[in-house]
Amino acid sequence: MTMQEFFHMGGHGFYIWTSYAVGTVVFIGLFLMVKFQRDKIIKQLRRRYRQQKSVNEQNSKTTASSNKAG
Amino acid sequence: MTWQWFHRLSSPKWFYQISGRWLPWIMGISLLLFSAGLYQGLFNSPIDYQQGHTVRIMYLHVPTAFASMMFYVILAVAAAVGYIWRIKLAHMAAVSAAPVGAAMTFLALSTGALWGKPIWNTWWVWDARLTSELILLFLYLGFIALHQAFEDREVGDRAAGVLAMVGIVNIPIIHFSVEWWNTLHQGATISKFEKPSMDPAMLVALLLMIFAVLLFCTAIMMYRMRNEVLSREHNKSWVKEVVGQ
Repeated sequence: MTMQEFFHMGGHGFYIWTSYAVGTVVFIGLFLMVKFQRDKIIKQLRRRYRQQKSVNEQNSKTTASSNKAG
Repeated sequence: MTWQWFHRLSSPKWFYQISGRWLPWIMGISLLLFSAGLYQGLFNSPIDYQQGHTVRIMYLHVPTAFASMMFYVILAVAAAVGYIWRIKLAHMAAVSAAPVGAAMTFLALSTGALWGKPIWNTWWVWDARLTSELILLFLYLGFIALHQAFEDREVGDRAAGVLAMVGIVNIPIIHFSVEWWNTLHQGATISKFEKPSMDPAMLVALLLMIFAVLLFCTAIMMYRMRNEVLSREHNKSWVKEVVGQ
């Protein structure tokens, strides 16, 4: 089988290669989407944890100062 | 005591750890099966005496169609387990199975159209098999949309879970549609009970591709579940450790 015959697929190359192209796009897309989702979640959680940390520090400062005042 | 394994199994932390260890293997084996299956399907298998080369679309069409139904069953069973026993991990599994199943349904439909055009001389017919598979795509999309419609994720889990459980009636309809109704679509080629009516080289290609697709879909579902675990269990100290500050 020559390369040309292989891509020609007996005249049905268009249908076969489009099928496999769509398949490749969907499979790679599924993988990339899940990777992007993970990166996004980790970014969001890191931001959330930093905010919580700074709120906690602020709270402990205010309680410390109010304790002094009291 | 008999329930201990069940609890361990339904622990998001346990799942996150064990899936992290398994996933590289599942992905690796899936990619090996894909390369072997594609080689066998595109180079190393004979043409069909009626359909010529277009039979090679089968090696993508049948595995994705099979996966589209299998992942719906997984989705519905997971939703039911989550609904009945209120197990969080089961709901995470249901939510993670949906996009994978929807993608496989889309592939089954589009490769089917690309196969139908040269062989049936039409992209689409409103017959029982094709219509019920299209309904499957709408069930997946309905599940995803309904789940996202709720502010409270746990209410969404339960509402979308009911849709998933009701929608399972469509699965036997898809499966038996080629027997119950007159249709352009051909019947099953591989069956558990009979000798398959196809060339061994074709059967090898088909089986390799089926396992490749199923493993790949399982891996994607597990990756999605891991994301769900991180996002839903974000208040747990172990998640904070994993994510890092």
